[in-house]
Amino acid sequence: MSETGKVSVVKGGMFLFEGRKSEDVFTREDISEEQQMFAGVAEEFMQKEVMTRSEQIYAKDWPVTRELLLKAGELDLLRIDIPEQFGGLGLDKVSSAFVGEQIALMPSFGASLGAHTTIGTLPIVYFGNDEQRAKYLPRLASGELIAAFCLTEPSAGSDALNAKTKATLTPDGKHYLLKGQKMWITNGGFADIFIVFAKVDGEKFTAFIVERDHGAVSGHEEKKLGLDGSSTTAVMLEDCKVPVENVLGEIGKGHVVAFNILNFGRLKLGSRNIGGAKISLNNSIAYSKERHQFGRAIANFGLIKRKLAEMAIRCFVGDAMVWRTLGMVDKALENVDSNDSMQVLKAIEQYAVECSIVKVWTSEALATVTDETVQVYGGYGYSKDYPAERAYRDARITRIYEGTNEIQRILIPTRLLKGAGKDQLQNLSESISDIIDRTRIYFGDEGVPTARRTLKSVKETARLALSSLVESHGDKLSEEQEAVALAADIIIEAYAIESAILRVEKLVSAKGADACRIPTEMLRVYVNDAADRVAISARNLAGAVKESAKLMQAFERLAPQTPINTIESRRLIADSLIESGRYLW
Amino acid sequence: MKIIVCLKQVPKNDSVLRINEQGTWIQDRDLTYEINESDAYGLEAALQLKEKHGGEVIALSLGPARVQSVIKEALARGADRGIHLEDTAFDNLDAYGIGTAIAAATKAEGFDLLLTGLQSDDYGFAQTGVIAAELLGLPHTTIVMDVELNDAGLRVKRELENGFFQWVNMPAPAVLTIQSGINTLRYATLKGIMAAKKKEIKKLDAATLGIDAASLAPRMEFRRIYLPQKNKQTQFIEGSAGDIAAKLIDKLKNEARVF
Repeated sequence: MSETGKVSVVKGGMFLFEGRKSEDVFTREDISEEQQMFAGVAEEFMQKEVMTRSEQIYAKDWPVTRELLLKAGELDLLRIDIPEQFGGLGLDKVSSAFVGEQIALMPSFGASLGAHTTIGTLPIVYFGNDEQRAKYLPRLASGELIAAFCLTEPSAGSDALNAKTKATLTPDGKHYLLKGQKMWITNGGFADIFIVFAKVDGEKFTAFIVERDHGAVSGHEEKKLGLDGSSTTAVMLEDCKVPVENVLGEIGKGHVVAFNILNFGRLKLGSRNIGGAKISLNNSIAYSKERHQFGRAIANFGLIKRKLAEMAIRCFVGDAMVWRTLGMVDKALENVDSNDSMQVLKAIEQYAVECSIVKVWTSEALATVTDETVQVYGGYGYSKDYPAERAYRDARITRIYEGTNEIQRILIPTRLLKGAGKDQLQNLSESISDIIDRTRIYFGDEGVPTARRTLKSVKETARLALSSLVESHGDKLSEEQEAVALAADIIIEAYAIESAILRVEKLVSAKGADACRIPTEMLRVYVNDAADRVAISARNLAGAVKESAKLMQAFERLAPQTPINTIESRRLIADSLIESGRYLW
Repeated sequence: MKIIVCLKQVPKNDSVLRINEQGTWIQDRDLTYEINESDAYGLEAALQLKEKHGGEVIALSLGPARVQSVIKEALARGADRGIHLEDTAFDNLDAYGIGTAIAAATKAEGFDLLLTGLQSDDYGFAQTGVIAAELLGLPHTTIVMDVELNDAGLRVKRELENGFFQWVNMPAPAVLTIQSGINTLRYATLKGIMAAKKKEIKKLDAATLGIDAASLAPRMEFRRIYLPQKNKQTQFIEGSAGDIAAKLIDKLKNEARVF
């Protein structure tokens, strides 16, 4: 099924401590013909069925959304991640995410469908017992039942474990009475099944499968900045009577359910984010070719070209990160028994750092791209009659939901220090002065080899950042959010640069350097700018840790590079976009 | 009932088209492809007939390796097996050459009904199906909107001009060219795509079909292809308001032909 055959299994988080070769990674170019066909079905469905109903969807005509979800079910679009024995297809994550990318054509509908298939259905897939799976999964797979995920509460957002919702066993021992309120529930207005997190006896955080008829009541539709064609409501649980057999997973282990589901959610969000960015970029290309000012199409102006090129670079690098990570997850999943949920989740969880990186980077890339698209459209970008405005609003939530980018920036270094980095960083006692010795300033520009040298420096900076954080703050790291986030930014760039290099190297070896001129330019520009961003983060971090003078010295060695003509490179990239009329990579 | 449907792979209709250096056709670089529109309706008609009367639907396509994707698409939507006519001798054929290859392949296979779209979205000859039928010595009908089976063979609704249509009875086997928009195209399902992997695609070349090079020799060639030239010409119509209106109507009707 999957085309990840040649890709080898790598340990999560190890990218910072090991080198990678292009043949070791999965890239977008490795997506198989069959996976393309799956996505083709989703794209055709979106174009013909969903986009043509946008007026009703944005008018919150939920029966239309339900009808479309049912239709999506007929085409098997809701059963991708469900095991075969429960009416699913049990497909790989690349297929799942590639289909998800097509659904991004309308982010509002994507939110409805994604909330159902991912956070709504997967808790039952992974944590349900056989009876629960047999009872719910076939009807969730067909779209007959629609699910929602109820974790957040009015005063428990990022701090999800601080939930106030209580579950009390009835005297006959047959039911739990749930009492509390959940907030920002996607599909809240029309879902049939709710995955609800509540504390048994006010203490043991536990997941429940709650049917609407058990007594879950939807609040009014929230008036949101974006995704206004998706249902978001509060869900009120007032002595909601849930049979004991609907406890999902173990009592007191709700956090395992909640947090594990979100890892894959973040990764899948990555493919939707870059999918959305590509739609905005293509709109920008088309509009800038049509719109004439001063007697010529605005696509001819350098500052518009700069924007188009920058958007394309974000799409290219973002895809490199997303598909590399998906390939790693699929490869790891090939080696585990797909019926053993705990093994499956563990395999995914070991890439939690990469999933967080993808979430942060792609959501911020989408923000840049949709913002610049408004700018390309000028005054028309500010009008609801043009697509730029809605895309700009829809993008904003991606930096907030599925774990805020701030939480992710804390998680990335923290998890690395607990996981892959634990042993690796101990070896760093060789450490700072050696690293300084090995960190050289490189002059000259040879494209990919230069990028590889910069990558080496950035990775060393990242490792140095991690070890100096530990040295300076030790156990009190959690109180040093700003410093931790600076380290996260360097780590994120290391992953982005490396993923982009690997994708370009793989492209060049498949198609030859001449055919890959544009990807190579995109890589050069990205690495050039990223190195400067890393240097700024590093300098700021150096000021906040012990031995700052030494670190400053090390970090500053990274910053200077031979200046490259990024203006010329961006023009080349933009000209190729303008000529082809769309982003092709 | 055994139905063969001919599917042509054509550039997607939103492709950015660029003319090749020789000026004889479009560049195939950067193109993405899809099933020719009216052929897709032919496939749907075949699948509906099979659902009603039983039998087999075979998807046939001619061209290089890439055309296998339209055969796979048909298999995913429910066709039972595929035939791929692939040979360098089949490159750059005109409608007669394609008709010759199709006739040879379908004769060898045998069928009750051979369906093609009424014309291709790229060349637009609207000849291939009819030529294949003539070479096979079979009855044929063009621009077909509906097909029913009866004891004598087929009852077929064909489109005439001005919104008129005609029902004709004809014997089977026969060749029909199908009009676009006559039915609702089904989607492939993901399960269908997965099932398609197990279905056979038979490859046939010119030698296997016993076709010699001479019978494929083009009877038609493209000398030059070019994009329509845009030009702006302004004409001032003078006279009284009534005269201007009359002249304008005349020009719109007889020169611009907008009504």
